[in-house]
Amino acid sequence: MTPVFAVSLDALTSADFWIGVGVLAGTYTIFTLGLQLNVGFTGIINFGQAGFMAIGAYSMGILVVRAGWSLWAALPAATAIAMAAGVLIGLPSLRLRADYFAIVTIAFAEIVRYVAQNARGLTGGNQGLLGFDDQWLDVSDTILGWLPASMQDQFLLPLLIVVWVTVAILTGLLMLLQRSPWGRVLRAIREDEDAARALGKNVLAYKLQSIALAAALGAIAGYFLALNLSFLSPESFEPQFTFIGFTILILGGLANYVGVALGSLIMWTLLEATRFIDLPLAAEKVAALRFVIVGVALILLVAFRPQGLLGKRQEMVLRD
Amino acid sequence: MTDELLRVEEVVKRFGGVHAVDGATFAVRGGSITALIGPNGAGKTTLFNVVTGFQRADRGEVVYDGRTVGGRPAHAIARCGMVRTFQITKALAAMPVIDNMTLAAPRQPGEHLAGVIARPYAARKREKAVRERARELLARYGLEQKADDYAGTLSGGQRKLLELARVLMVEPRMVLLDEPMAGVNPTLGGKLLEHVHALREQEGTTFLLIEHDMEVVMGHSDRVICMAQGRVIADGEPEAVRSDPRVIDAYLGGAAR
Amino acid sequence: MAGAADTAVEPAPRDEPRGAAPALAGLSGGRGPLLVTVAIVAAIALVLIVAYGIHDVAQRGVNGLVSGSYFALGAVGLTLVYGTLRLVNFAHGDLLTFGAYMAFLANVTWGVPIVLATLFAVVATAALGVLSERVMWRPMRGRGAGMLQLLLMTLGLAFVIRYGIQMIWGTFPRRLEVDVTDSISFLGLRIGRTELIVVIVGFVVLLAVGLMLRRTSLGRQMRALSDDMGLAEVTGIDTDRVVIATWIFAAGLAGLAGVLYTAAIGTMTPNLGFFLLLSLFAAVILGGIGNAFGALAGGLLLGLAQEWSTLVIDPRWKVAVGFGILILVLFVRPQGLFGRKERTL
Repeated sequence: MTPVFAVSLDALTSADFWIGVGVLAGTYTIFTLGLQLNVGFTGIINFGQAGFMAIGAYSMGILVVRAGWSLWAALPAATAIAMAAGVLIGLPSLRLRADYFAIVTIAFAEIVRYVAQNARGLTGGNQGLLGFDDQWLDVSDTILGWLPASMQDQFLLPLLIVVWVTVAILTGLLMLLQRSPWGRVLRAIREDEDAARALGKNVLAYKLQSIALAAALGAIAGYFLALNLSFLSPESFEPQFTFIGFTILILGGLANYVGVALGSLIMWTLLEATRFIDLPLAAEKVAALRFVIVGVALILLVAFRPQGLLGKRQEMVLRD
Repeated sequence: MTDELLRVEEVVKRFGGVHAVDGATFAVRGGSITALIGPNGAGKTTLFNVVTGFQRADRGEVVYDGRTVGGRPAHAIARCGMVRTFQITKALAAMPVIDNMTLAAPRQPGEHLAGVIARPYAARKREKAVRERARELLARYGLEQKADDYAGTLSGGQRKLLELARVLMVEPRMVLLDEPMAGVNPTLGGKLLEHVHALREQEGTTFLLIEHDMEVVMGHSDRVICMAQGRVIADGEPEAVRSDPRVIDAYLGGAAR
Repeated sequence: MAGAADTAVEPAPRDEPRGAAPALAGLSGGRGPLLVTVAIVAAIALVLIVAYGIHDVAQRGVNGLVSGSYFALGAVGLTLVYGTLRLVNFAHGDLLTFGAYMAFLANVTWGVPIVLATLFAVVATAALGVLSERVMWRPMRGRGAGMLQLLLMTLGLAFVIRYGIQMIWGTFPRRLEVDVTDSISFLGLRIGRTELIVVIVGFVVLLAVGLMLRRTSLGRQMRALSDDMGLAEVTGIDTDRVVIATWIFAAGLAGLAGVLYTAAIGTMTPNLGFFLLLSLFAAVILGGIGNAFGALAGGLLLGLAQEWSTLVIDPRWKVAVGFGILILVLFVRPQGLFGRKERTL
């Protein structure tokens, strides 16, 4: 009798597998750095990060494909659009209780997906949006040319390199910011925003800055996702992807920027490995299995190890 | 009065159908120590919240230093130099004591994203000055040994001292203290009051404090305002307020409830 | 002391007067907001009638009542769970999905008649709600879990329910054994026979829920607890019993709403609850979060708003109307139509 759970380990030793995992893990590290800034360091619960990722990626794609912009001009413009969306969402909801912001952001992410699906003239709807990455492919070829000949058939390698260089730069910048007086105000707001207010800090302005920066990080993650897939479709930006980010966040540890990359690597190794579990199931059911794993992991982590791998337990428990 | 620093005029604040503050009017003289007393439920803390911008009054006006501050956000009012503490201390427990202090300093260019990026030198210079001032204050308040400990490790009385020291970092002209003596042992409490007097003498800082301990109120304030059921029922010299029949009545009535 | 958690924004309990009476009042905002709301709805209807004719407005109004009935049933449970437990249950939409698939299991797989299958779905969903309370929420509350922990656990649960269903039944749209094509006409208005049943069942249950909340002591206790947990404990309400009752109630109604939705629309997919969640939140916030009657009214209003919006804009965008209303309410009246301005926690 053949066992039902047969894992072919060959896949786990192949370079393709690890490059794929590396690109996804890097992309989601950037995505989750934004969540870390909001949740771990400012104390605002952003459940709409996938929405910002979608806004960034689609704005970039639309500017390049529909408006004929250069990719290099579209990237900063799309980042600015995502940041503006963050401020617009934050303005009505950040003044209110923390759970309102969670509700509004999750609703926002769903609306963004909905628009991506239905505004076909702009986004291509379910057909997707293609042809925004020509300029990137030139760069990718150049990078590939610098690499040893034995690696040149790995066409995702340049993306892997660029994504992790970006991760390193962004993580470093965020850690510097966190050590600045600006980061100190954020920490105070996270602990007790009334205390910060009483000391003359404009709490709403800081929260808006935090959400705008997170939106920018989401948008950057969106560009890498788009370049990885080489087309944009609504299902790549479903609201539930935010919660893969949250699982990574808790796994790595709240209020710890380095933990994000670690959590992301572990999470994506696990998720991608599920592809190689030989289950007698249709593809959609295997896809569902991955999200069941995310759900169970999220529940168990939050219940039994809220501090994650590198965080401090108090960071999670003492706050309300 | 020409030298009044704060004037509260006909302030009304309702919650649902309940009038927490119901037309309170009084003034606080610059450089004075004024006590705000009254039985539980008199509306004292709500009044503090309204004055410092944490809650918006339904009616009435708050004038600080000749400017109407009603409706302005709390942080803006704090920046004008009117700073408060809270009944339950808000020491930022997961931050070191020194960070609690340096956080409170104004005019730090490094607190703005643009400043972090464009003016790192100015930010560092300001940070150095702020740190020096913070160490100085901590030393004066007997907290220098604790500077690098988390604020969460301080005792209740030390937290009150830290809060007062932290308020001073904001460079206030007027400080509102909500029950500064509650839960503080007498020795530490006495020290705290000494600091209040010293600040008033040396810097001319104005104090408005909510206090229940009558000995403190009578012994340390220049003026006493008594509230009951959201209104000011007496306002004057400590002795005069103490013997005011309406005040006695309010307290007895409050006790009987 | 209850005041340990007070912030400057909330008046400190020991220093401020407050009555127990407002906490027990029905629509806490009083009659005023209700009249204003009715007036606004009437004014909008009038404008639409002038612009598009009475027939279209009435027809879409009927459609709006259909969707409003399952919005309201879903929203009332969401708001009660929030009120009693301070838990924003992001898995609530997936309870609707669960109810729909339980009905499918009984009705189609086992061949049970639809009425019994619906009852089965309601009971099964209520049981799931109670199970989640016992296994997850009560232990977490006991450990003093923070808001973020609880929110993330509701999301984890949502994933487990939604994708668990997808693993079993796939994403292929499923149908119940109900006739969705047969329709009847009345005064020139067309309504599907099944839709009519949905509206009738929905409104009967809504009425029963309303009466239950207003007239029975359990209902009053639920609302009191929803309004003020500390108060409820002081006045000697058996909170554990009320909490369990709230879950039975909230999850059972969610299950029913899921079945009614499927019956009205015709098909179910594992995503249905998540797609509805946005509308449910809009209804809850519109009615004032924690306010049970507000959620009922909010659900109906949202149904009307979405359907009437199709007179003006492409029907594709009617889901976005819910989001628009959500944002608008937060800007204009964050406490909702029937919420009290400041809650005394």
